[in-house]
Parts: sequence; structure tokens; C-alpha cells
Amino acid sequence: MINAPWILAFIALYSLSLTGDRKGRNLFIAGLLLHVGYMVYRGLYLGWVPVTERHDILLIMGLIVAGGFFYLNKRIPLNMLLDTLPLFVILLCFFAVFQIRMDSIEPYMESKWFYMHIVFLIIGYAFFILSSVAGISYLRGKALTHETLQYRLALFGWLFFSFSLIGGSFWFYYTYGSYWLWTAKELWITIVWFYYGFYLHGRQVKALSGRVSVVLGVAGFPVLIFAYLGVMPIIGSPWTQF
Amino acid sequence: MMLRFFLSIKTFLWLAGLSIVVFLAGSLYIPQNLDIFSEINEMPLFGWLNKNSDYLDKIYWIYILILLMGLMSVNMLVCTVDAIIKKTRLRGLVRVLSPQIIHISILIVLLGHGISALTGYKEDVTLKPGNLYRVRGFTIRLDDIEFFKRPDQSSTTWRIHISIDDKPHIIEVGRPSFYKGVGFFAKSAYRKRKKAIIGLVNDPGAGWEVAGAVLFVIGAVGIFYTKIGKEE
Repeated sequence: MINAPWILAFIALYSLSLTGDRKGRNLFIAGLLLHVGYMVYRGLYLGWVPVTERHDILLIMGLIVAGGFFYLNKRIPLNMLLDTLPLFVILLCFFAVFQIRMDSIEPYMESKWFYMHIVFLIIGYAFFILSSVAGISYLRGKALTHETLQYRLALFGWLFFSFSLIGGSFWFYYTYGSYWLWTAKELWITIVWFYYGFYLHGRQVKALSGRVSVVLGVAGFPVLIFAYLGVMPIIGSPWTQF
Repeated sequence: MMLRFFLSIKTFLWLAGLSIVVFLAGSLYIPQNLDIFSEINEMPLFGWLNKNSDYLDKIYWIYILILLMGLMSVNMLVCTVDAIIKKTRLRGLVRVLSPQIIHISILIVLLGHGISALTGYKEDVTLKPGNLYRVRGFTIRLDDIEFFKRPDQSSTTWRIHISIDDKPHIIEVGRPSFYKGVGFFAKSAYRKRKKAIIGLVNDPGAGWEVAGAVLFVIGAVGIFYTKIGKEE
């Protein structure tokens, strides 16, 4: 019962941090601490690492993005960072509030490969989102280092995301005897992988470099959010278990 | 001319962009044509394509995808060989080779996928206790189905006891058994109807897939090693 008010409390703190000054920074950190506290509570309540359902996955993703503040703060001016980064965290937390909580582990989740799949998925997505933050900073300030930062974060995100696909393939093979499924969901996961592959290589071509490349990288965010949250309710993906 | 085409990164970008469009089209086709696509995950791809050749207007995008993957493989192979020949003379071998290792790993994964799609075997068998099923030169018998709940789970899981050529095997969700190259998977079980669905899979490309995955991780570690801490 305390879940929603707790989440709304740190969403409120993240929202207030959008002022972009020193006070905003303190509010952001206060929100982050409350966010950490909630994830610890979820772990204790469930009795296992809370990565088995979307509610928790989105919140941990948000937490890693929020934690990225400390890394990006050394490279992007505070006001610019606090205008953008909290918005992504708020959005992820907001999506999490609307996910139905199951509070149980399904039999098919009982696998170390499943955990590898989910943990790397969370990290990969978080890096993609942080790369979008860096990209937006470039579009606003034109600092070349922000473009390099965006590329680097997207590259790491793509590698982590690929690890997640490897883990997912092993998990699925041991559970269902197939490491790949022809479903709308799996096709969209592949779209995300190809999309970022396209972005990472496109940067080397003159026509797609600079601003175009940065916009492509930032536009990856709606693609990955749709792949994760939009495919099942909007397109429909029967035979998809998770 | 042909070599120049495949040596170009623009070729890759066109192929990747087109693949995204085709994947997108496929994600719309599948849910709208469930009657046709219901078996696609239960048999090897090329067998399924043959079986459904009458529905070309609904499955044509898979053929386009296979063509794109083929072209992309040639593109990746040519670019990788070129990069290895030209750049290994440069300093920083790990930096130069890591992306190429990743390219090779993707090619190996695609090869494994192709082998399984061409020569693999997949079948779901529904059995009741005591039922026998003969397949690929051996006999399976379903001996018993157990249903139980783990302490932290709300859902019931199952354990299926089978005999393969009279040798007892136990399979559970996520814990298959392998015999003479065939995997036996506990896909589903029904308590009331006392029956189980056992997935039988022979995946000749699986070894290639694993090799590709291992190589990918090696390439990725190389990229992390060369990129971390050298940003400015």
C-alpha cells in the first residue's frame, strides 16, 4: 500500500530538481536517496533482487539513470543536466507506477540466464538513455565533447544490450528449446539492436555525422521505450512470455 | 565494382535501415495473421517457409529479411577482412581488432542461425502417462507428471518423468535433458487432463551460436578496455 506514495514522493523531488541550480542538485540527490530506499524495501519485501517484473525493472533503470548524474555532472554543466536528466528518470518512474505488481517468481524465471538477461537489459537501456541526455546537451550547447560522450555511452549501452540478448537466448533455449522467437516483441528487440548499430556506424558517414547523428541517437529513446512497453499493448505479441 | 559496393559502410547503413523497416513490417504481420504464423516457432524456419508457400503475400518479408541478412553478412565479412589487412599494421592492436572480433562473432551467430533454420529439427509432442512416441530412432515414454510449488512462487510448476530407450530422465521448466543430440524440454503440463507437452529439439547450429556469443564477449571486453578512461 505504501508503494505508490513512496514512488510519487521521489518523483516529486526529481520534478522539483528541474530548477537547475544548486538547490535543484540537493533535491535531486534527496530524490535519489528515497529511490534507493524504495528499491531496498522492494528487495526486502520480495526476498530476492527486484528484477523479475516491469515495475521494479523500470525503477531500477530509472535509478541507474539517476546515478549517471554523478558521471555526467563532471562533463555537462549542472543547469543543462538538471533540465534534462530528471525528466527521463521521472518518465521511467511514472511508467513503473502503472505496471501491475505480481510479487512472485514464475517457474520460467528460475534461471541464472534470466537474471543475466534482465540485469544487462536494465544497464543497456540506462546507458542508451544517458546517451540521449548527452545528445540533448550537445543540441543545446554544441560542445563537441557532448557528442563524443553520447556516442561512447550508446556504444557501451549497445554492448550491454547485446550481453542481455546473449543471456536471453541461453535462458530461452534452456526453457523452451529455442533461442529466438518470431514474435512482434522479439522483432522489436532486434529493431532496437539494429537501430543503435545504425547510429554507431552512421556517425562515420558525412551525411549522417554531427547534428543528424546526435538527433538519431536521441531518437533511440522512443524506439526503446516502445520496444519495451508499447509492443504488447499496441501491436500485440502472442506467445511472448515476458 | 562489386567489391567497392560491399566495402562501403554506406552499404551497411542501407542494409541495416532496410532491415529495420522489414522487421517493423514483420512485427505488424505476425499478430494480424496468427493462423499462418502459429507454427513458425515450432519448426525450423525453412521447413515452415516451404509449408506456407501458399501465403507468400503474408510471409514475403521473411524472404526479404533472409536476403538482407545474406548481403549484410557479405558486407560485414569484406569490411572485416579489409580492416584486419589494413589496420593491424597500426599501433593499438586491441583497439583495432576488437570491433572486427565483434563483426566475426555476429557472422558466426548468423551462420549458426542459418544451419539450424536449414537442417534443425523441432517438434512438440503431447503425451499422457504410459504413452510411447517413436522419433529419430529412439522411443520416449511418459512415466509420470509431478506438480508442485516452490516456497517463493505463486504459480505451480511441473516435473516430467520420461524414459528414453528405457533410460529414466527428469525434465523441468528450464532444466531440459539431452540424448543423442536431441533436447527434451518440459514445455507445458496439465494437471486435470494429465498430459504434458514435451519439446524435442535438435539444433545443429547451437554450437556456432555459443561460439559466436563467446567471441562477442571477447570483442566487447576489448572495446571496454580500450574505451574506458581514454575519453578526453
